[in-house]
Amino acid sequence: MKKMFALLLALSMCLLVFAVPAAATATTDSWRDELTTVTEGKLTVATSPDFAPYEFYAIDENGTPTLSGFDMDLAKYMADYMGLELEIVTVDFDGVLSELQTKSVDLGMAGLSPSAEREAIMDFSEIYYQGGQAMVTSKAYADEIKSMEDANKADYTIGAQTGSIQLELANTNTPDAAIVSMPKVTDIISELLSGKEQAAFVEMDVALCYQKNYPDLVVVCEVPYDTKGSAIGVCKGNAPLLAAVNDAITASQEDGSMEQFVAEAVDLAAGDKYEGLLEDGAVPGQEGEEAPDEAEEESGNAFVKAKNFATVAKYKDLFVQGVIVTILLSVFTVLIGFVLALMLALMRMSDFRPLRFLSMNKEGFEEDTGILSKIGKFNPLSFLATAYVEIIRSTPVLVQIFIIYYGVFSMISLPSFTLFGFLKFERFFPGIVALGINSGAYLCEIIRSGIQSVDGGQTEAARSLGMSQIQNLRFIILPQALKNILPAIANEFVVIIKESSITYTIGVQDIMSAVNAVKGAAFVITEPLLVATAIYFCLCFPTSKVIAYFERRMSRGDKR
Amino acid sequence: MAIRDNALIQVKNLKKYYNRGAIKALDDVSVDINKGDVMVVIGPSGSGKSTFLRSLNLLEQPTGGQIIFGGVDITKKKYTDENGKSIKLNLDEHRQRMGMVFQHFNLFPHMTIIDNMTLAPVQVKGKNKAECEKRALKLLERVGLKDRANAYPIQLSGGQKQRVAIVRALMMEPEVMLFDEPTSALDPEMVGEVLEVMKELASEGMTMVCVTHEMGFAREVGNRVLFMADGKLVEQGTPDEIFNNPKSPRLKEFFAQVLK
Repeated sequence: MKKMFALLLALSMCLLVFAVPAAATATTDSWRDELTTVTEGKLTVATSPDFAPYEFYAIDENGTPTLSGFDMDLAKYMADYMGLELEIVTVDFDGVLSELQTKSVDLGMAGLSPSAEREAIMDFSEIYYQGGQAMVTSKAYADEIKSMEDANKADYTIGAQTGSIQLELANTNTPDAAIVSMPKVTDIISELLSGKEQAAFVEMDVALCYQKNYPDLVVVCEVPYDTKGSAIGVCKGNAPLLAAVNDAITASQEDGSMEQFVAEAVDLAAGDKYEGLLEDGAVPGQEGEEAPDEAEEESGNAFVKAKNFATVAKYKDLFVQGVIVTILLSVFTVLIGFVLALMLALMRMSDFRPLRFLSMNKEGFEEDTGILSKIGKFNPLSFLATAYVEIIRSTPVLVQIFIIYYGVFSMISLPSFTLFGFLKFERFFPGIVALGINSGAYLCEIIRSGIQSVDGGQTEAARSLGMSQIQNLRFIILPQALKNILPAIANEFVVIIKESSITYTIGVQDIMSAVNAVKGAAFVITEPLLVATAIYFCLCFPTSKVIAYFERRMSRGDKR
Repeated sequence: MAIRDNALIQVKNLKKYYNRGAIKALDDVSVDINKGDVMVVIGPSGSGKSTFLRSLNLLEQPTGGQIIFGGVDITKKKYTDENGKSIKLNLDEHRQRMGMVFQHFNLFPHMTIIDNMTLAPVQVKGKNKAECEKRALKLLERVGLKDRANAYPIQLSGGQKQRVAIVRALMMEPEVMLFDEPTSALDPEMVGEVLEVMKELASEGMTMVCVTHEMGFAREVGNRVLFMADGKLVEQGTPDEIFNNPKSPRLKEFFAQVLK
């Protein structure tokens, strides 16, 4: 009891000490000494840059694509305020929620609206921006859909972002319609404009931004929602950080910074300020907002627009980074996969039979029939390896990546550092581990077939010379097997180049994440995908041609 | 049965059964292989002569019987030494002392001839590589292939390959050489050069067990001939006894077939 009392006293003393300056400045600095973050000295913020004007990629004065939007400006402001270095992690919107839940990041900033369900996995700051929710439709349906009741029909398809409040709003307000959830707002708008969806629930400011670029988009109405506004998701249970965030928000509102951030972001998203989002060669003096509007109307519903490639070109730095990341991913994946596969293949082909004695006859020789001989043949190493291979080959790689990243690596803390300025180790590493685990299963079968393709006489010759099983493997079998399977391994490399695109879902900045960045920022959808297609083709096609060349050369050498 | 001084390998009641004895590849074969013997095994195909030879260095796992080599039954996982201590059998050690030559040569195609020869002595016996190479070149010279030392197996003819395979086995300085139909995969004009090497080896006193269809070699070089049929050792004796005075009807029938 005494101790408890002393503690209470100390606490109240502390409160008293800090209450005085708090009253004067409306903020408390009580968090300063206790502030801890996921990575020391850094404020790690997860975001989903498809949400202009909150967060999106814009071209800066130097022509470099940069994460922009008022969430990003506020994040920078908060990091400065706390004296930390800002680190931004880009993932899909539902990824932001997962990152917070697994405590992989400090903050989630993606126009998050507080809700009871979300409170369970994260803490919320005070509301920092008063947004609103909107239901939108396209011009084609503007006459039919004038209210949420009009949209609530079974033959209508309504879009909303995966894991978002808007999805809940869609479910409550238009329960009779078919509701489609997609990971990116850009994709929803694209479906809406192409007539695949009749309406969509989107954040109000985001809707207005898209409307400026796509005049066919019509805002039907504001959707009532009890918590009006966005808050910052804070890693649950980190009270000093929550205090710091709230103080920073208060400060940004008091000194007018927040207002300025919003104004700048809205300008930027509408293409007013930077030439980057305007059509090239726009007539000087013409108003920024009209230039893209006219262009859109002129080209009508064309599948691909040449001018959009010019837009994509401005993001070439992201694509270059993406290519480097994709190549590194593939190389390391194949390396990890190969070592794993070799171990698995040897396990599968091993002769480890601990129950062999059961199948021995009286003379100490093995029987080759009967149940006991079957039990005697049981090889636990081979069984485990076979189970591994079959499980991995029978489950989707996406599931495996999520389990590895959100499951396994949320329990292991990885050093957080960035290579070449864009490759985040703590995401890249789980990525190559997950892909390597997957690839190992496939490579295992390749290696096994390679070993089995070596003539049995080779082993007999080696063993008859007194070589051990390991010496036989090392000097005789593997060198010959590897030569046989080199083309198959190289083909697996090509497969990995393509499959690695899936790692963008855990925030690895590869080619696909560059595509998504452009989609979210420049409101063009098909063109960045075509660019990515071309890049992947340019990576894979020459590689497989080179492999085919060597394959032919090697088989020529074998002819007698 | 006491171990005779000159018995290098004693085979006792060797059996190789499949399907619980429904198929008997080796049916109770007993024979002593003495030091200096050139034992030739003949018989129709499927008679179990290759199985018998391959069982001698346990490339084939027998299902019964004993093979006593160097005083130890090598068919068992463990043996007891003279002090009654149980010791785990190191089969690799025993195999080092038995050279083997295969029908299909089984040279290592990814290595040069000289590397084929030096690999096992260097890696298994831990010998000096340079010395091994010197010895390998001497052996190659004896079989007339010194100039092909740095060639790859693919560049050699069948007869050359088999001569290399023989000297490769000799590099391990074995006490006995096992030949599994060494000339059966060769073009007829190359058979002679291989038999010549084997004959020379025999004349130097090497203990040899040879499964072959070369009756001339059996008659000329062998000092003992075994005739096997249906997994059984049907008849054995000197070449003179076997070829000039066959006793069993099975052997007479065999000669009627092959010596037509």
